[in-house]
Amino acid sequence: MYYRGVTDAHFRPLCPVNIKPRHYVTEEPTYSVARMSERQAATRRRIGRATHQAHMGSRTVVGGLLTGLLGSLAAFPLVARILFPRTAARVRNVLGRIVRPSATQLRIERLADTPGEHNGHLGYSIDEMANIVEGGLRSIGLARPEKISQLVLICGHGSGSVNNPHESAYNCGACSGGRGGPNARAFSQMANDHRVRGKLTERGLAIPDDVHFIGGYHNTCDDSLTWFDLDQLPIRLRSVFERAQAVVDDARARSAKERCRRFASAPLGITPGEALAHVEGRSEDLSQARPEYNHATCALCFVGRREWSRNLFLDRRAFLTSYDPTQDGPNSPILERLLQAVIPVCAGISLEYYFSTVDNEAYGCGNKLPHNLTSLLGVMTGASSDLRPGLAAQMVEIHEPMRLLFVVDSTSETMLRIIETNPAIAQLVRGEWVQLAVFQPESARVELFAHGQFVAYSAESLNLPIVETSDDWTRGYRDHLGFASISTKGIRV
Amino acid sequence: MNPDRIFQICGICVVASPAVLLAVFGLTSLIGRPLSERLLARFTEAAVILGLISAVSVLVMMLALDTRHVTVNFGNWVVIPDAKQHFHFHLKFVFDRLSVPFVILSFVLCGTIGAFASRYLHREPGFHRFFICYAFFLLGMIVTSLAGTIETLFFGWELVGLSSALLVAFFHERLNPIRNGLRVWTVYRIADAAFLVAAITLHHLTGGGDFDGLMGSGAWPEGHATIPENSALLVGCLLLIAAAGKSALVPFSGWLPRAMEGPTPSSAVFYGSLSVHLGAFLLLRVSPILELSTTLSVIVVLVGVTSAIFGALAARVQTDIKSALAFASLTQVGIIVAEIGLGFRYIALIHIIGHACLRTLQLLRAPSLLHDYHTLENAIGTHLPRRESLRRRMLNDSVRNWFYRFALERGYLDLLLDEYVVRPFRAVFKWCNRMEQRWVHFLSASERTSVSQGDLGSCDPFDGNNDSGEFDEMQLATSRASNEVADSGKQEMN
Repeated sequence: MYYRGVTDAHFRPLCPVNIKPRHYVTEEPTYSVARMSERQAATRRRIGRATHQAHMGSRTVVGGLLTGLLGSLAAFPLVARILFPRTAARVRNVLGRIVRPSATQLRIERLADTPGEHNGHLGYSIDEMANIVEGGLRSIGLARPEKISQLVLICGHGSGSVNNPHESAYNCGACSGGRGGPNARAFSQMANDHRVRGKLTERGLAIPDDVHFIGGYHNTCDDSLTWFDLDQLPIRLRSVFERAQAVVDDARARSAKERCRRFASAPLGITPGEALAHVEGRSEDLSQARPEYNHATCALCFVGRREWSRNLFLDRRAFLTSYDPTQDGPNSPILERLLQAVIPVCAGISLEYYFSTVDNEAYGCGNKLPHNLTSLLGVMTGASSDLRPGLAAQMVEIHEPMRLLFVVDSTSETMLRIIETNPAIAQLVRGEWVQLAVFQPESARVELFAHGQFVAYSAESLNLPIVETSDDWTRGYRDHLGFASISTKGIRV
Repeated sequence: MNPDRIFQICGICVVASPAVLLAVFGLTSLIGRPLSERLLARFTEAAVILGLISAVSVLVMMLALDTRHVTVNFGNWVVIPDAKQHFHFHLKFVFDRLSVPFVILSFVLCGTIGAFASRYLHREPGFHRFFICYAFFLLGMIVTSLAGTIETLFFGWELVGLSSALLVAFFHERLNPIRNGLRVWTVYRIADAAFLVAAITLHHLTGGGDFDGLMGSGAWPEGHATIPENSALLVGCLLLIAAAGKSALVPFSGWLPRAMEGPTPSSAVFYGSLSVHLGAFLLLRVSPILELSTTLSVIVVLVGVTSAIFGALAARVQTDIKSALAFASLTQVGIIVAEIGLGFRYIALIHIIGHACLRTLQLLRAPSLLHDYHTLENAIGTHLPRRESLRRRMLNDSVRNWFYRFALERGYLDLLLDEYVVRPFRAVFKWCNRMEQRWVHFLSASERTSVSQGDLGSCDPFDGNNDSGEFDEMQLATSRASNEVADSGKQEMN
């Protein structure tokens, strides 16, 4: 879909780059704050115009003379933002909130027949919403009433960093380098719509009435989570949500701690709380060339039931895609649709890191430090050079170049059929750009795709180290670690 | 403790803290035990804070005691007691209305950049190298700002020049930074030569390099110089060349965008803010000389205004943010120089400080440009307004195109320097080389008659590729070797 946020000027596509969306969604201030919001928009416009004037003016003779004489004031933001990035960011946030509407909603329901970017044509019809919700729920294996819980949290992801021309390289690849929060928000809003649910019940996908969806946005850089439309949460679910939030907060801190293991500037013995503060500081630091490591070190993509990957320490090196073969049809249509997206996207990410690592100067964009933004479209090195595409050395320095291994919870016959019928997948798998294995829980067999067929794979060792917490396993190490099993005792929830 | 003593202690602290910093960084590297990143950052922080506190205390005490001129002596280092050719090298630092703001500015900006760089250059192989250059630079800035004699000023000036050129060439595994670093270095040498000649002339005129003697006894900016007007014009012009080289004024402007090869923080603080203002600082320091000669003041104003106009023109057409900011800096430095020429010293000083802070922030945030433009568009709610400029309305197409090309080619300044300065120089040196070879040939041929021409050619110590054809002008012009000479020449000068 094309999306325009309440403070945005233009629509931007939030979908994979090879798809041209037809639908437009906007975020609007809620009706009650609409007038207030108009005033805020006017203020934003004035501030924007003034900033633009100052920005251009500081480069001309007359404007520059004025800004030069008043320029000493620039020392305050300069010193504050470099020496106290977190505090400065908070202050800027508080100030920014004054000119942003406090409550917003998505305009998601279309009144006219055809989708378009103008009023009335925005959004989706009920049928289209039902299709989207059905597709989403079926592919992640939530299409059965007994599988679905009262509160379903759907998250999009993105990454917020400052002073980083490569910001979009850290964002969601399935949103063309945008941030996936609005998608999650729109999906939840669709799934909460009773008319959509009615249509879904007709199609044999009943969502119980007491189920509520909440959309969220996960900022992978500072490990923050933003929830959308909490005002619409039924009161009886508030306590459930608060519990969930506590768990998520704990998970955020632990996730930050596991990520800090890789940052040489974070001490090894950091506590989860400190780790969270550390990554928050990182994301707001003008001088930080490595706001996060993003997908670096990715090695594995598991497509299957979450039960099989639960309690496994995978060293943050795996893409986990939920798929439940027991809910799939006889010809595995769900898996096929899922893999049509998963294999090209994950392979693309992995190969991007692969090539940027094996030859950083040729395929990557080299050292980030002398980068110089040019023509408002890319970076070059130093005072003059070619445009530098690819990933920077600072992004891939811990990456281990290897072909991504897909492990799919399915049978070899199904996979061979999917490869046969999907040229995009066949190209990647047969061309050995990625590795593919199928995992059959019934027979506990793993088969690896090699030279056009699946051959049985025998593991070197069936013993997986068992530790109480991931912390016990990673303590004192910054390098890559083997996988381990986390005993359930260690988990506190 | 009497105030004088406190002044002495604080003054010594201001100068000593960067010197000790440099000694610690340099010595630990020399004995092969480089400090860890964290320690380097800590030491930098400590040195800057100590220096800044001392400088601020000097300022506070000067305000409290209403003193406007404090000298800190480090003694005479060289004395040649000769009645006619008297020379002494006096290491003396002066705190006055010019140097104290400049020192505080240097400490604040360098300290901020030090904190920035310690994170920005994290895990970079050249981390130590950067901080050693940084310590050189900081020491150079402090010495230059506080210098009480022209020799001391030259000493700091050289430290700044050396560290700047090395930082331009920071990424020495690539060719471009080296070329551009060499170019910066070359321009600096020209500026330094002019400075040195000016210093010696001043020595001859006044018998010492002390600014006190030079400018009369009044505290800056009230001093009055006592040298004859013609000498003032000569010395002033030489100093103006020095300042123009350092501040990238016309015609030396070509190096400024080239200096953006180093890591962002060094570009920001050195070429965006501090180093580029040193030329203006020098003119401020010797401003009593400018007063003596109207011609000189006019020249200074002209150079400043030309640079400002040129910078404003060139900044408009730059496609990359760092070059655009570099030329924007040039515009402001040009205005500052013009202000100095017109005699507005306090305005120039305030302008320097404001511009340095603003430009540092802008350069450090240069990588955010795309993000900023998105934010601006979102705030305004549409694409950024593109106003019809005054020029567009007033000038016709061919004139505008001429201006556009002129700005895009950066005023052909590099080309002009290469063509009309470097080439004649090279031609003269080549001619000398040829004459020398001929002489050597003449001397050696009598002894080594049996040796063939070809062998002789390969013995040529000056240019291994050139055979004896070098002697023939016609052959030189057409030979492959001359192309290679030209290529290597380009490498040097590009």
